Amino acid sequence: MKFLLRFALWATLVFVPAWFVHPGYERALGTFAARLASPSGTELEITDLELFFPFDLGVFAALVLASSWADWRKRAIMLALGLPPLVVLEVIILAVGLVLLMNSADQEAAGRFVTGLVRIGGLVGATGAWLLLLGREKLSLTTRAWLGG
Amino acid sequence: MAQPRRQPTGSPRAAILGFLLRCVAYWSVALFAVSRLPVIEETGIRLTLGTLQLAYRAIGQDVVRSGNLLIAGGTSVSIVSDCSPHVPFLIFAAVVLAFPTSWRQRALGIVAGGLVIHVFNTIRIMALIGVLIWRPQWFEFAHVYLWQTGTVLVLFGTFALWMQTMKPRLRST
Repeated sequence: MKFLLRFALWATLVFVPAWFVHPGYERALGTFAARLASPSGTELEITDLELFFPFDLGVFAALVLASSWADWRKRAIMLALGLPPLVVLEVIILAVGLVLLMNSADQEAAGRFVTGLVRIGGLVGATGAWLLLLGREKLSLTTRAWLGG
Repeated sequence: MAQPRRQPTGSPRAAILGFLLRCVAYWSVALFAVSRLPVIEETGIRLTLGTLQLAYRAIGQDVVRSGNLLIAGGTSVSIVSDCSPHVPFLIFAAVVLAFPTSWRQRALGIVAGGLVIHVFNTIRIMALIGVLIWRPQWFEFAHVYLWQTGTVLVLFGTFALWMQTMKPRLRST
């Protein structure tokens, strides 16, 4: 329970800077993903993007910072290790989403898939990375036994 | 004579990785189902609208529903896919299904988790409507904050509570 409270506090603190950088960040991410997704010889221009990026990075940072069983040095290292792959994951999700939207015959189904992919990918990437890097240390022996079962 | 405590086999990292891979498999199925079966999203939206109507009536607030539009307190909101709890629920359900426990426990987790997530989502939208009425300039901020941070908190909290209800199933060595 204390961990959840610490997480809520850190998530709130980290959310504020994320809020101010998100328009520029989303534009940059969109531009990069569009370059990856556009067929050769063409150029994709994204005019409007509504993603929950980089707030997923904020969730990961808050989870790491709230992991008080690790010292500050370790938390800083885990942040440095976890954030770059998550940014890459965001680019991949967006590029895959754009390719699907461009190539799908059923635009509605593709739209639902991409929306779900962005939502699930962001949250799951952040929590999964934290679980692998730090969260597993906190799992009790019982849970580990269970997971090993 | 006391039995020696049996220890789990395999490294915790491998166990966690296996668990995450099972989660990814369930999420993939869920994502495919959501994209192919619009009824999942539509049901989520309908359920959200119906519950919001009930909740507003319960607190004595007039509310009018027109299609996916909800008019309450002099403001209107359109309940769209993002307002539905189906994505957080599918994330949670996948984690519960991937967890090695009995099907009875999984069913309990999915039903109780679904209820908690639905209640949280209803409170979240009512809070957002409140923000829209009193501080409309804060709406976008509150919307994203509650979706990301609030959802992760609720999912973590519900999962932790669900785990408290179980006893370990230890492996033979």
